[in-house]
Amino acid sequence: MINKTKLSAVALFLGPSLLIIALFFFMPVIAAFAMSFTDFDIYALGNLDYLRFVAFKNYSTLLSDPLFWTAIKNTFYFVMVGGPLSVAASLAAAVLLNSKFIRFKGVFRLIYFLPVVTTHVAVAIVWRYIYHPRFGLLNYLLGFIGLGPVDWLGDPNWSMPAIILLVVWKNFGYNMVIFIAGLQNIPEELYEAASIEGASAWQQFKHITIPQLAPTTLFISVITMIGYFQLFAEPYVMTQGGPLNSTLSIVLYMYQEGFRWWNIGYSTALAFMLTIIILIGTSIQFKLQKERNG
Amino acid sequence: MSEVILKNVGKVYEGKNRAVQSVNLEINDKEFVLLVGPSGCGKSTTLRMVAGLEEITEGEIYIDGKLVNDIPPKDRDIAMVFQNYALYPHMTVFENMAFGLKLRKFPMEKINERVNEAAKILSIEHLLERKPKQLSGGQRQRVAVGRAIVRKPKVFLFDEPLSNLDAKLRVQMRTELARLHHQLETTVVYVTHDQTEAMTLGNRIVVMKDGIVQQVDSPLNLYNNPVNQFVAGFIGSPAMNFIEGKIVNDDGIKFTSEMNVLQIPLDEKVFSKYVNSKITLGIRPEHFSDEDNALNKIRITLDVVEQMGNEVFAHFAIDGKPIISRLKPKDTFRIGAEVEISLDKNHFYFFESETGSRIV
Repeated sequence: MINKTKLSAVALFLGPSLLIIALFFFMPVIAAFAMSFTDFDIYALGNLDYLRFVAFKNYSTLLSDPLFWTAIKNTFYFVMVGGPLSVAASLAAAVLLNSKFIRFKGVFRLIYFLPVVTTHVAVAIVWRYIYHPRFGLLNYLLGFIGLGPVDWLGDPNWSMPAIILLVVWKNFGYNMVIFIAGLQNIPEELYEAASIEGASAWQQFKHITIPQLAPTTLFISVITMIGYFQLFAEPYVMTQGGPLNSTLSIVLYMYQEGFRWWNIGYSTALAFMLTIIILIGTSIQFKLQKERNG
Repeated sequence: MSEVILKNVGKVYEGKNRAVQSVNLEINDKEFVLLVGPSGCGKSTTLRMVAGLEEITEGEIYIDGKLVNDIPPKDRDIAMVFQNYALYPHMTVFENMAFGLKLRKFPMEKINERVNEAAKILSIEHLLERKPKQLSGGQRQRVAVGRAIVRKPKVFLFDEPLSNLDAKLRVQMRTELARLHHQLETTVVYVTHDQTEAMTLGNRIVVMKDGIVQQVDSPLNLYNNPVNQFVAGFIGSPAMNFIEGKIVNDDGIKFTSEMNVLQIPLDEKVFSKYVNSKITLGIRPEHFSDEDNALNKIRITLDVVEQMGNEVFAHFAIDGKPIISRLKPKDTFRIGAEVEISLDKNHFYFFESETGSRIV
């Protein structure tokens, strides 16, 4: 039995954080969930009398909204290409920086991590110049090998790859640090044993590094996927979703519906669709990992 | 034929820290050689240079007549068992043992045959489908040995393989390794810091200290004829007792301990040149007796008495220095008891105190 002093101590320690979580997490989530069944809009914002319960109407409208499907398609494109690319870039950088042949590791780690902590807007401005069709650095470099010029942000076929490149560059440093920690946990002896048994550097990577990193990779993949499904800042700053909605992501569409057109009920329904998608994606990854572990 | 030859082998880290100094060693085919010494003596580094895991900074190593200095580990045809087993955690026991063969593109039937054969020798056939974390320490050790033997390499290298096992299992695995060596008839180089392991397993023992080989000899020769005080103190359990003193010429050449408790007359021919030099007397615990009527009898008071059943370890002091003796058990041996004890003069060892080298 818990006595009174103990109970008050528990309340004292847990109370503040529980209160904050309830106030700023559970309440908004529940409120948003409730709103997704209403036609909450700018009129309702002015006078709650205009608020009507519409049941599943927002969700059914969504499913027949071509822009929603465009946003879904773009977001999946981004997650499916950008996600693995980002994880691979992080792993490659981590393996390089973990090698005993590399000097000035601290400096490289800092350089690779800098984009992660730089603000989106500053990065976006710089990258807009890099991507500039006439004066951009990227087209200038491509010119040397006889390619281009490409209108990176103006061509609907190139806009998403351009966004992916930017996001991968900006984010790989974060996962790299986690991968480095994972790599340092692999006992050196395993590599020594494998090298005596005849494994080449590539075989050691394939048979020891990759399997030993599996838990880290799962963690990183899930975190990256969840983050990438919520793509927003980069297209918002760089392309506003264009050209021809080719970089319109789910969250950007949600933002436009909610805060440009004030269809808040509709945009909360969008948010919950995204939640369901992320939930499914995560459970697929856990399942794949479990199967591989036998 | 697979002998291992080390010629003037040395290891210097980053141009300054010396770990190993000019090791010369010829390990014959099918020989079981032990590298033994306290931690930091360079024994593991030497083994790792043979394995190819450490760069050889000085000298040459030959395996089977071939210079291997610049040959990577995988092409040296060796197998190694590590202290922490180094089993691949994500593979089953079977996969662990088959890994090297798979990399060498052995056909599947051959792999099955070799793994099953090794599993049978080590009695781990029932564990093949398990992962390393489902095994006990002793079982993991067996798998590590199994992984080494499936490839039938020219040389086996063992790096303190029994250190992580409990005492009972260690004794058991020690016997099994001895039997296995007899069965496989392969060259073995084995590193340990445990002198009992060294004495019981090896054909020859290499005693190392501070990166320098002190003595290479058979276990019995090391025990009977240590070249210096370090080897004398390292081999044998409990360790040899050392009593500091000097040589005096007082009615003949004599050794006297620091506080004159011991006075031992000595051969003039050998010791006359050491008059007034500091000398250390070494005597093993088993060379004390309470029965002999020999000379060199002294009266001592027992400090601690450890009854082992078949023998007794009696602790006392000579010149205020702790001494341990190994005697036949008696009821009268109790803490505080006064006992007449004699030292067997046929088993005295004398060392120069400064250099530690033995006076013969």
